[in-house]
Amino acid sequence: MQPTFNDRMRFHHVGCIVDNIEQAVIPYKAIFHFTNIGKPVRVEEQKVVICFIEINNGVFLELIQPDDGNSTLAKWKKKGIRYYHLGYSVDDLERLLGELLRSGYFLVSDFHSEAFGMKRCVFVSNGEMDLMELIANT
Amino acid sequence: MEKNEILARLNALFIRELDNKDIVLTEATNAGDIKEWDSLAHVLLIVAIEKDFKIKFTSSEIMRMKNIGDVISSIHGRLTKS
Repeated sequence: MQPTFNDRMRFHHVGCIVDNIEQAVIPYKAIFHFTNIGKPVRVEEQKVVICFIEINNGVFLELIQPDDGNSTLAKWKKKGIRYYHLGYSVDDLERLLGELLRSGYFLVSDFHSEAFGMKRCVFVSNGEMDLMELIANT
Repeated sequence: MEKNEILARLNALFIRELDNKDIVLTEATNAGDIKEWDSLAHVLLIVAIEKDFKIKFTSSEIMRMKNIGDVISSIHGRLTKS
């Protein structure tokens, strides 16, 4: 049987816009006692600083603090949008991306992320504001 | 609909979506010319254009759009077909 998209995409994180990462991590430490909290990392291409918190086994919350150059995320935050994308780890990014593009998704951005050791990441959308980040495993 | 009418509608839509009343689009305008037009804003713009003109772009059309002239041509093509 042909593997489904779901078989080839491992859920990794949900992306959440915050004003200030240092402030935003406090309740996750103090109340939930999450211990696997990464150091903030600047992702140059996206003009953001991000920080991962492991909220379950292998599942992360990505806190995203837009810098001055990222007006869109700052505006979304002002409008009350906080959780805005899902991140998946994938083995064969190129092939999966091709299949998604043929299925009606379009490429939003394609970059190498400091947050994942400069691995390739892409954002895709289906035009219904369904934003998905695919992170290459290799 | 004529291309200049599409341009005028797009101009109003860009002003609204990007919250910048100083935007003046021409066919040559591209994302590099407007500070607020980043990759995420591009998604918002596509959604807004599709709603406003009651059309649906294909993935390849969206990825071929390099400037406003390309956007106008896609919209014009869609409206002419329908």
